[in-house]
Amino acid sequence: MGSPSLISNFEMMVMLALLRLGDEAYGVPISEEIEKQSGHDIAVGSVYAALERLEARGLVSSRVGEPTAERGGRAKRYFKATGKGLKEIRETQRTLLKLWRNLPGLEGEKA
Amino acid sequence: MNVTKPPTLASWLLQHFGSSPNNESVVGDLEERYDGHSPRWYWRQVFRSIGAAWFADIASNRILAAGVLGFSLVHIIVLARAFRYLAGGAANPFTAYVFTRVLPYGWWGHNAIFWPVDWLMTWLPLFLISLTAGWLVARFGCGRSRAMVLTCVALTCLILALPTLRMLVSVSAIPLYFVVQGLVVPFQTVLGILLGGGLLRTRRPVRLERM
Repeated sequence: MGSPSLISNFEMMVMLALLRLGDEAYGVPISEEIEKQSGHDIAVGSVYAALERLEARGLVSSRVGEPTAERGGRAKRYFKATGKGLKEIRETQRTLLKLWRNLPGLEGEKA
Repeated sequence: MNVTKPPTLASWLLQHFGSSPNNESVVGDLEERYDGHSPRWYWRQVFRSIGAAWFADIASNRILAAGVLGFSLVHIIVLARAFRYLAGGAANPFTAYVFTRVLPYGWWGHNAIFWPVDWLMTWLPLFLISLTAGWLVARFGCGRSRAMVLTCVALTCLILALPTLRMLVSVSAIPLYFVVQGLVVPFQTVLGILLGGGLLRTRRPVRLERM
């Protein structure tokens, strides 16, 4: 709570999906990737809301692709993690791993 | 290639009420993903996408959203007072003006002329108030005009829902004239805000290179 540099659970999922997809990351594959890994139905609009927040903080950048017929002539918007975004995700991973270690309540369970 | 077209009304709702700056991409993505999914899935995606963009805009502009809520309350109060002024007395002052100054005096006695003029003189000023309210919200929406107009519409619907439902419950005890007025006023209020706020206008896609 409070610190604007903390990224939410869903924003982190979106960032990780972005990193997995590389240069081909736009709304459809990002939401499909999160659905595949989490098993939950994801709204494309929620993915964009998270991406817009991340972009406003300089953690991702975007570019507009070419319009295609299967999208009703609408262009894709491709997203990519920035250097700042990569640094942020590494820091979050480090913090989570530290917090995850030696949890008495989760002894015997695998993370 | 995707040949299945998604539900037209759902697409229309998303195109007009989706407040995301990337709304064109959201619409395109949903159209691309629709193949192999049911219309129900598409409708769910549309409502969740509109909601997600709306809440994101409100969360990032809380002071502006609070201002819009306050302004919407003022709009409802003005609307209620105007309605009481126009429909609460023995005669609508605008109707009286039209029949004494504009139309031949004797015409007021013809029901086929009197009632349409009276309804127009009641609904038009109220519609113009809502139209102006929607325009003002959009004008001062600070780049988040769609979300702010939706906020204004949501609060207006919430406030008008109770008296409208109460009227519908006791519909048999109310004269038809007032029932029609009671149904038209909420409808035209929402329509006025949406029209004034520009939400019913066709959007042109914004294509910018940002990477």
